[in-house]
Amino acid sequence: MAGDLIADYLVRLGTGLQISPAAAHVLAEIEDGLRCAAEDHVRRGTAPDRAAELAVAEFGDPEALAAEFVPLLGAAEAHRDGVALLATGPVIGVLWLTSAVLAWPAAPVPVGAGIVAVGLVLVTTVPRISYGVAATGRLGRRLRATPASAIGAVAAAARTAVALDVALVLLALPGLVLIGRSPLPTTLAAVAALLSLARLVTAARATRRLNRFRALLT
Amino acid sequence: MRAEALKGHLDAMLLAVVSAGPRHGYAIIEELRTGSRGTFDLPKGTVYPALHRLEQAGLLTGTWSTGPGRRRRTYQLTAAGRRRLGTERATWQQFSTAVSAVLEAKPWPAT
Repeated sequence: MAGDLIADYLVRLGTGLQISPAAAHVLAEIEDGLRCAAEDHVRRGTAPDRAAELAVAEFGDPEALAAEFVPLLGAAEAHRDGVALLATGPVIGVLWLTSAVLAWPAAPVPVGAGIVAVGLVLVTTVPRISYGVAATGRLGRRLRATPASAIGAVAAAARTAVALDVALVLLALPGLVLIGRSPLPTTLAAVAALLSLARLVTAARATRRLNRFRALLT
Repeated sequence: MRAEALKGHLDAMLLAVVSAGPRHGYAIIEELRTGSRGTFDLPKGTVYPALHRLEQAGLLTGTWSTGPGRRRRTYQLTAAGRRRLGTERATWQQFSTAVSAVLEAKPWPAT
């Protein structure tokens, strides 16, 4: 009975947190707190069943507690996703850029236009994602950003990364393979395309999760 | 005392409790209650999100360990947390001194 009450509480809390992969950590921490509280009551002479009842009551409504955790978990996830995008962006970008520069003499106009287009996308996306990472991290208090807006900034940047990776893989890779005179630009483009595909998948997943967080917060 | 009354002060008090040494969530809650002689007997659930918020802000750091047959998260003050606590203490001293001066002042003689 005592265990059931605590287990029921954790199930209700878990339902509110199922959006986050980090929910298990929160549940483990709250379970420890609930069991500590129940054990405390038992040490003071309360029967175990009553002790569990008191512990659950002291922790408050599980749905309300889940609602308090959602923006925190969303911000933590947005921060991780944003940092990953910022870290992988330069590596993938340098690979694409190097292969494009090597292929430039063969088709200067389309390659040049591609570089300018990607540059314009980066100029708008990098500040947005930097803001999202800062606002969901240690600078969050100073920036006074709402969790929804900070998560939204990272989600938008992840969406842009998906679109950019799709465009690069679909348009640039065949072009570079066709116009590449030496194997070097083709090899670099192939490696860049593989990395872009990997990022595309993770960024698409991140976009979906972050949009769900955002929907819960707005 | 209700949680709303503590709004704005809870973070500083949590930092103060953890400044004494690493604590897990329930120990922090109990210390907050006993340290305030029962005045701050908050819904225990409300403290955990606050601890996570302080961790995200880089003021606390949390580590997992194995407690009595279960996982346990222990919090510790970071260097930034110690600096923030110093600032919060100074601000509170100034604020409480000013409020006390006004509330406890003898009425001015009528003119």
